[in-house]
Amino acid sequence: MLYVCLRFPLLGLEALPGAPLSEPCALIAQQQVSLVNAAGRLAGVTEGMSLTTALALCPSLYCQPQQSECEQAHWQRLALWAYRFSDDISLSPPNALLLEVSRSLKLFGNLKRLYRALLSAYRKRGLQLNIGLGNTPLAAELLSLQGIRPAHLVNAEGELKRDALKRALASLPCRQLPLPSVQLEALHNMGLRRLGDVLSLPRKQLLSSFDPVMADFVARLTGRKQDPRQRYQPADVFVSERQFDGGLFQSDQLRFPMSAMLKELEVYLRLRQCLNRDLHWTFHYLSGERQHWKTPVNHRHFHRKNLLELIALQLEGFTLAGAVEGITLECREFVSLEATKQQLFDEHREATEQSDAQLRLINSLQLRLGDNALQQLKIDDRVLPEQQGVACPVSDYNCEHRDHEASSEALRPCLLLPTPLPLQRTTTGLVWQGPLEILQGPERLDSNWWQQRQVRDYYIARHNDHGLCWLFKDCLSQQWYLHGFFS
Amino acid sequence: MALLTFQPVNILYIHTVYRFAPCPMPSKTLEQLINRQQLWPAKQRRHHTVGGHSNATGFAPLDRALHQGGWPSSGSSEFLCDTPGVGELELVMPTLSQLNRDRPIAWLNPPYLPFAPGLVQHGLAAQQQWLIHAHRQHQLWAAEEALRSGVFGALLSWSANCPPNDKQLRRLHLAAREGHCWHLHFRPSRCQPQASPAPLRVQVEGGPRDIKLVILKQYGGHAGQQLTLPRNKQLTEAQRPVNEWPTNTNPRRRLAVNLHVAGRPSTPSSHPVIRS
Repeated sequence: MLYVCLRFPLLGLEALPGAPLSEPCALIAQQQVSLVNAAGRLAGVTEGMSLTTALALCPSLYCQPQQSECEQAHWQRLALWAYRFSDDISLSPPNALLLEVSRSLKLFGNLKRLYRALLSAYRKRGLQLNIGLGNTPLAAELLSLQGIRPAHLVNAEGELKRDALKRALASLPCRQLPLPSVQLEALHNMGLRRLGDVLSLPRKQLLSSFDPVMADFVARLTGRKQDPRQRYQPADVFVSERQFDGGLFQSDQLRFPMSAMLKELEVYLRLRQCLNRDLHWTFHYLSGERQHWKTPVNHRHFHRKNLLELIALQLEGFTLAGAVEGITLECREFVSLEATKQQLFDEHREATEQSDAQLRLINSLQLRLGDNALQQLKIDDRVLPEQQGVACPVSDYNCEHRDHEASSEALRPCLLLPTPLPLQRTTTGLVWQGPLEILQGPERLDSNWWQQRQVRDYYIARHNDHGLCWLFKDCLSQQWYLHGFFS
Repeated sequence: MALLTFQPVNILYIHTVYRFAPCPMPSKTLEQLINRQQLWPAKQRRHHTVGGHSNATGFAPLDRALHQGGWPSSGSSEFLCDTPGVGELELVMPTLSQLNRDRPIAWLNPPYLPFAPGLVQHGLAAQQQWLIHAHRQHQLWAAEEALRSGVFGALLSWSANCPPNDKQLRRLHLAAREGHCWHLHFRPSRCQPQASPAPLRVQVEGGPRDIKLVILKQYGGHAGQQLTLPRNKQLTEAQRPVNEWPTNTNPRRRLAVNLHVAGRPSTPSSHPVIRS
């Protein structure tokens, strides 16, 4: 097992939308500076300082109250982002992520390459990052506190140098350990300044001279005791947000943030092995208004480039109602990605491809049009024509493959009126949008006595416009009906 | 040496085809490529490049009138027709029953219910007919989706209540080409003046015992052919007058009468037996 701990020391500041991180910035909690960046530190501002002192030292200090919700969301996004490196990720409070990378090493080649990929990925986003490595989660966490350079721990072949790791761990100062202050004081009083001193103590002495917390800590650090972490689970709904200070005025400018958000979505989808059905965008205007906007999507694979083209098309005829302060992308509907089955021999592939495509189409049509929008025709063994040929929803269709032979009986129309249309009779004959001329008939149907007796005489008639119609005369009520068309 | 000269020619040929029509899946048999119009035998080039493959219509005069030799196997075809029952479906039924052997057929927003026993009489499989009811604003989407998916051999669509514009028609045509699906678009004949990107446009009208066709536009040559195709005899054959009723004559005599009747050109009967 090999753990990498990614610590984001400036998480609180980075989470703030539009914080000028190159200039002195600080987070304020209860009138005290709780977090300050490097530029602020240069100006003499340190954590724990009161706000007035800090402002006196550095008048241009950018101060913001701590926004824990914003910070949490940002942290979650970072965790999602880290999924490209490992599948086993856990959040390590207050500002770190823990990745189990022993299985990722094969993918990336070796540790050195993985480390480089990690570093460049996060640098690209302008995030400050401390990396820690270790055989146990706790060791990685502790080393990331120090911000050790993993390059020193890895040899030229990209393998981990275990001795160097041990040495780095041993040289950690004891006051940084995440222990209760009583224990820290006890360590200090005993003259144990470095972690190595603590680790070299025999277990018996640890148990006798310290609280059990200490022994537990050392056991977890050395791996003698299991230290299970809760795995990070991505949320059911994908939400991504981008904020712009000053606002954007042109829809073209939105393309880049949208592309970045789609990239996030891509990772999310790959992680959950599913496919989104829609993209809900919300524009937050400076005036406080919101505009909702939807991109209907139907695809088999998430293809960012195609989606971007689609969005660009949509944005073309789109004028922003003002300055856009932020955009939110939300996806709520997902369908699971069907695993593609590869056949060894080619003969079945066409058929499976066809049935896969059919399923996908059914899904997408039903999703958009409703469950009953898609129907299949069926022949029932009933007497009345309107009961004989029916359409039933695909979901109810029971697949009994009976081949209906073309019956030798009289011709049946291709199009049927589901409910027969009563016809008017004038002195010249039957009328439906013009006179009707009867060509053939009758074909007598006298049945259905067990429910309601039906006596019908079916005729083929020619319409004024030469259309051929299927009529019947209800012999019980002497009423004529139009029932279909020989199209 | 012969082999050496033969090979480069072959490779060059396939290479150029691939450049213009990239094949999405790497391993396709030659037959599949030919079926999907990505490759064609050079000697048939003159006939088949104009509009791709075609399916025989089942009516010899119509096959001759269409430069492709039949209905197109993919892409949009427009049928301009105002009244139901003039034979607009009868015209395409032989081809549809051919297509239905491999892939199902979709009916998008038909004006009336397709009647399964009637379709079976035309050689279609009832369980292979899919009916899609799409609301007005989703109609085009559903059509495009169904055409592009490649699931259906043919899609019959009616769009009387929301006439699509030129751009939408083009999209439908392209989607049909992509999904190798024949799109039969039934439209009212008032759409005739509107320019359409569909490569084949046919106006269908009814005659007393036949279907009158005007090919308004087609691939690969001049259009404007006017045809008259007979309808199914069983439909239009009016009941025979009393003097033609079968009588109880001796077989030899009956044969002679039948021969006499069959030899006569059929004329519309002026006195149908049944009048309402």
